Amino acid sequence: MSEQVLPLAASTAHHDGPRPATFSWERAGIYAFLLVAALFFLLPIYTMVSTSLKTMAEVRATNVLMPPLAPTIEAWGAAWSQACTGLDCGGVQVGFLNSLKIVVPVVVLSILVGALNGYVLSFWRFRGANLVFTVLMFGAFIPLQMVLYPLVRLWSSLGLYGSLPGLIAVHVIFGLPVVTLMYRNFYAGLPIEIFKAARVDGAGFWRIFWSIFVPMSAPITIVVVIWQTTGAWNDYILGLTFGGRENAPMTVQLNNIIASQTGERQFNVEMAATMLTAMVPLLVYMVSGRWFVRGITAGAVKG
Amino acid sequence: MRTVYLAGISALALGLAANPATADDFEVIHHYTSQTEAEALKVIADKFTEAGGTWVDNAVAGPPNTRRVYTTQMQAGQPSQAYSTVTNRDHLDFIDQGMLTDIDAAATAGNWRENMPQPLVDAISGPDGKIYIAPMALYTPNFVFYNKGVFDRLGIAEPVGFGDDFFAALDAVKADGLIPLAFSGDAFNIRFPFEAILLEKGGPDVWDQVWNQRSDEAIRGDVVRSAFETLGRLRDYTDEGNIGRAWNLSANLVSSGEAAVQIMGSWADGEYRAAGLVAGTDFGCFIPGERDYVQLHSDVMVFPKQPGSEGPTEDQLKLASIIGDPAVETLYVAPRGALPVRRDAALPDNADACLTIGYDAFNADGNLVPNPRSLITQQQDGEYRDIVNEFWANPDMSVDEVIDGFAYALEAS
Amino acid sequence: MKNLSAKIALAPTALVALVVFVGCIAWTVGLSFTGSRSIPEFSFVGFEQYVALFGSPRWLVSLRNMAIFGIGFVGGCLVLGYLLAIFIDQKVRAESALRTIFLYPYALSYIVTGFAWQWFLNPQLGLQKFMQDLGWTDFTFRLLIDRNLAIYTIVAAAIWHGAGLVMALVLAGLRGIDEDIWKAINIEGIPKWRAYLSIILPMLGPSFATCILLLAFGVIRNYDLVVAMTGGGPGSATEVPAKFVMDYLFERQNVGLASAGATILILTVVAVAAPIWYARHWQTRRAASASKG
Repeated sequence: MSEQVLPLAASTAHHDGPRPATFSWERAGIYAFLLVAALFFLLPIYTMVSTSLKTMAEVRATNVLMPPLAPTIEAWGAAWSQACTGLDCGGVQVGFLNSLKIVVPVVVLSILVGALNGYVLSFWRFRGANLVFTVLMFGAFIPLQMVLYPLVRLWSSLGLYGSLPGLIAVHVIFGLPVVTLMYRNFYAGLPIEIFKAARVDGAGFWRIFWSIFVPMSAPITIVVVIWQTTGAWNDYILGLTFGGRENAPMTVQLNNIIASQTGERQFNVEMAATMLTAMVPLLVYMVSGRWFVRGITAGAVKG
Repeated sequence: MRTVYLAGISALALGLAANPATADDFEVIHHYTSQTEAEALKVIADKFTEAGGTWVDNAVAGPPNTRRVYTTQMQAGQPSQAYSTVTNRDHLDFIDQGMLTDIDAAATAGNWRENMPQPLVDAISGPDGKIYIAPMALYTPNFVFYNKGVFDRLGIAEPVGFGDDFFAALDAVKADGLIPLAFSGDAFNIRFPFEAILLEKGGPDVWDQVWNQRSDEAIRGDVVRSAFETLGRLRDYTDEGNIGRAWNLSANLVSSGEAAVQIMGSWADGEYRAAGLVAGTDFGCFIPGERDYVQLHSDVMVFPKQPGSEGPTEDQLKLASIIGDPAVETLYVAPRGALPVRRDAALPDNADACLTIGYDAFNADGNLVPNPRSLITQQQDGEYRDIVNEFWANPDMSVDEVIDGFAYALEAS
Repeated sequence: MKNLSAKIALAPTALVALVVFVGCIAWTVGLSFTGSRSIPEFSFVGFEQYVALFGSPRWLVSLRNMAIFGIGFVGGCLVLGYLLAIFIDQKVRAESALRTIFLYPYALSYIVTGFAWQWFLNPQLGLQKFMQDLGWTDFTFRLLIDRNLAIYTIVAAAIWHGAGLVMALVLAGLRGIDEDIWKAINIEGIPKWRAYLSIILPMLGPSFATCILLLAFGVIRNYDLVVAMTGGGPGSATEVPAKFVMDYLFERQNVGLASAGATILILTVVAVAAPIWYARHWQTRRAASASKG
């Protein structure tokens, strides 16, 4: 096990020495704690997976913790392509493409705007800059309910209501506070000499941004990609309200499958559909989890 | 970085190029997302398409979510052409704001007023007497199901209402070790047992005094008190898991024989049939009370006013006519185990014993009482359900307290 | 003009911040003084809605629940996150796998989290039944349906969701601590647990500050989790203000009352955030002027 040392990160080997090879009560205790913690974190998802692999008869007959006696992926197939989400019985795959069409532009735009904002707020002091940042931070707390009606009216008057660009814009706007915060903290953690040297060399605002700071932003950009992908993909309310019928993301399909108050419930299909919808962010986390930590190591975390 | 930027822009462009809505699209927002609901709606959608319309389906599960969508759409000035809901008073507010259109032309042409019970006509009309809403299916919300196998084995006869015979039956089941009552204890479902008890005890008179006139005297009177006391007694006859349990799961308890009785609307019939039980043989049902009073509960379709039209569009009238056609009604209610809204519509072939009970009740004069939600506002409805649900979940709450809360909820504006 | 490019670059964000964040809040506050029912309209009624609001038992319960949730969730995530980070940092095997296990819940939406937990805690089919099937017929696990415990169950589910994030942030901070510090600790013979508590913890101040900020965003907005797990029940035991506002906005058709509730929520944020923001502002000012010297 070795953690590569990033150029801008501090040392990661703080108590030296190889992993202790001998048994000790302390080591046992550590592993015991981690095991219990792992169980705590895994149990709910285990129950969902196990239910999704059973037939409805088995679901009704046993409890959720028993593994399936005769596992079948029938529910998964149904969830992907046959489950009824209205008159269409096409499963959640219908929403998959829509979710992609929403999330990719959202992430790209968030990176661009967030990086620019972070850059301005870190290095360019002028009146109003801090005020904007304060308002942004404040805005991060606003529950969506407060903005639904006024934003719907505003979007409608701008011709953005029910359209894909309008939905993307809403996502980017609501992601602005945290993304700006991340970039700002990151840039603020870099040595100020970099900026000063570039200024001395005569480089202008945009030049410094594009040629110097953007290439350096890889660690934090990865964090932002993970964060925004998860946030935008998992969103339901914004997609439902601002997307219009044609742009309904996967979460809307999922809700139609699991939230039927007035019809009968097929729990195994519901579980499978839930997991399918959660798959993209889960994969993103599993694949890039370590970069998430590294990116934060590299400086997302400063006061 | 530049590649990322280009990728993002192309994705955006692709998204923009997606199919725009055409002028002929008829968007319908509804909450019918389960299989049987979808099957039933398809009957109407197919007939609409046959008649030349272009049905654009916008399904959103969970009526609160559906409401969010059609409300914000109307706010944005881009309403759908139709949306589904159940009998309530929403339309009065919207008509006031000029957001709905009437479909009276279709109603008159289809002889709706002559063939639908008066309470239903009242519920679908606006203050100007014109009909604004197309009712699709009727249900009997005050209904009781029981597992016949369990009853027969214990020698219990079908109770008449919620009186002593009912509690004697529950006692017998309890002694046998089974769950007497499969209850669904949450704010959504609590209304069905409570209103069933209230209707059984007080009949249409008290019903009107409580929900329509909201008279303090009636609300604090003996009948309401007795209804709450009965509800309170029922707490002892159900299992702990009743809190927040979906009504389908409660139905499953009864159909599997773990529990004996369920107080739920007639839509639960579909769940019992799905479990393979036959009405009359495996499970029984009845409307509680000496006289079969039924509460009006209907799925309906509402028609927002379209920008540029003063009245209904041709397609809206088309859909309304289809919904009101007796032959279509029979086909529509068949998969859902519901009842047609018109007296001159026939029961579907697959109607079982339980449906027939409801059908007979509706067609006998004077049995139909209005739905409380046609008489009280959504807020009053929500708040009264909150307090009754609180009462159910909290054994320490006294009947006096819940009556106070009930009065407060109904008498607040 | 000085810094013209910078100002232009920030302008779109500034516009958005003004119009969307400030504008929508102003709109909502304005609506809270109206008698709007199902549709926003501007019929002035003074403070009537606020009176009705604080006369509503459900609103008061939801405020109380938000306080419980806020403290429990943020505190619980910080504690559990810190513990997880510490233990993982002890050069254990399978660190990567463990980190993934602790972090993956954060990738799930609150709806999925609530749905999974509710399923797991289902008395008919979940853990309770499992234990009973195994033979402990008296086993009860009534967390979700007990009026007094239900809100804590929601807190537990939220901690399950968010502790991983704290772990990731704190782990990064831990890894950034100079090894000389550890050498000094070993030399002085300070027991590890003491070190983590009194020495390391203060050094991780910035990490924890960021954690608290990120977690706090979720407290006011907590809606999906409650709806997915309990729908506010049993009774109104798990009602939260965000759900109250949403319900009255659409379901109960009282936009005026909902707006009043939302305004109170924002005021709460201001009340808590303003002192903190001022403190940090002064701190930064002082640090900046000190470093200039």
